[in-house]
Amino acid sequence: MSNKEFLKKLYFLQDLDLLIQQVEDPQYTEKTGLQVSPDKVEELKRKRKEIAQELRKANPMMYQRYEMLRRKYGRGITRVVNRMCTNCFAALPASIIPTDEKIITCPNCSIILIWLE
Amino acid sequence: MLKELLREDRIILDMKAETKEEALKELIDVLDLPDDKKEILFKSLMQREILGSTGIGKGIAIPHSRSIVVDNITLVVGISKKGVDFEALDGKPVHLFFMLIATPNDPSMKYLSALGSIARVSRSIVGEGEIKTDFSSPKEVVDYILSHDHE
Ligand SMILES: [Zn+2]
Repeated sequence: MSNKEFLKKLYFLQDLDLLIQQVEDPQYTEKTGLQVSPDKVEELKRKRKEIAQELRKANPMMYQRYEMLRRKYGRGITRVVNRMCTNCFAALPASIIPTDEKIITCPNCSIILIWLE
Repeated sequence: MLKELLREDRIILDMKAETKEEALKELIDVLDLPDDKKEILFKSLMQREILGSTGIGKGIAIPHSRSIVVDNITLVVGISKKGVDFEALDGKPVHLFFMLIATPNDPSMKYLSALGSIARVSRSIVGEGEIKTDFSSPKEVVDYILSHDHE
């Protein structure tokens, strides 16, 4: 898996994680009255597990980092907007340039960074 | 809360869509995003729909998601005169869409309160009976929605 594919899959995983977290929050149903099917949520969790396994296999270190950061910040990957990390809002040093050669992390908060034009 | 989120350039007066997929795509198209980001957003909204339709019944749907593609909490409102088959809980066609997208880092309370406000306004609108679908300008839609936002 190329770095680009890895990152794309990783933020898809994060989307799933955010979704699962959201629908399992008791406040969600309380405030919105929206219902979800518990069976479908279980199905989604199985899908999540499959993608996670793929990512762990492709890049164990980055996957571990994602899980660690997710526990810390509630997310493990974030976008760079105007050369700023959107997790900690620190400006990135000029030495950091987007590249497909390696996966880049924030020097300040260590979150995994992704550039979307 | 809703007042800050409603933008006249993010309102569709007469949607063309007939299916759930088409409706989501039409709502997403209002946002100024490159195709790959639109695709990501579509996938994430569909993912939520799989868990249970956000068509809450009586002609209203609230598709929503947190997504990496937006910079700010974003609301798009769509009106469908003919109605869309959105696999709503009561099986009725949907005439009024509120699509809400928040950033992954949005403090979840802000996103939840926005969703809560939309649900409340929706209940107030359906409480009146028929949903109004005949609007001549986006401004009229904004006024219609805000007139149901009592809090
Ligand atoms: Zn950072």
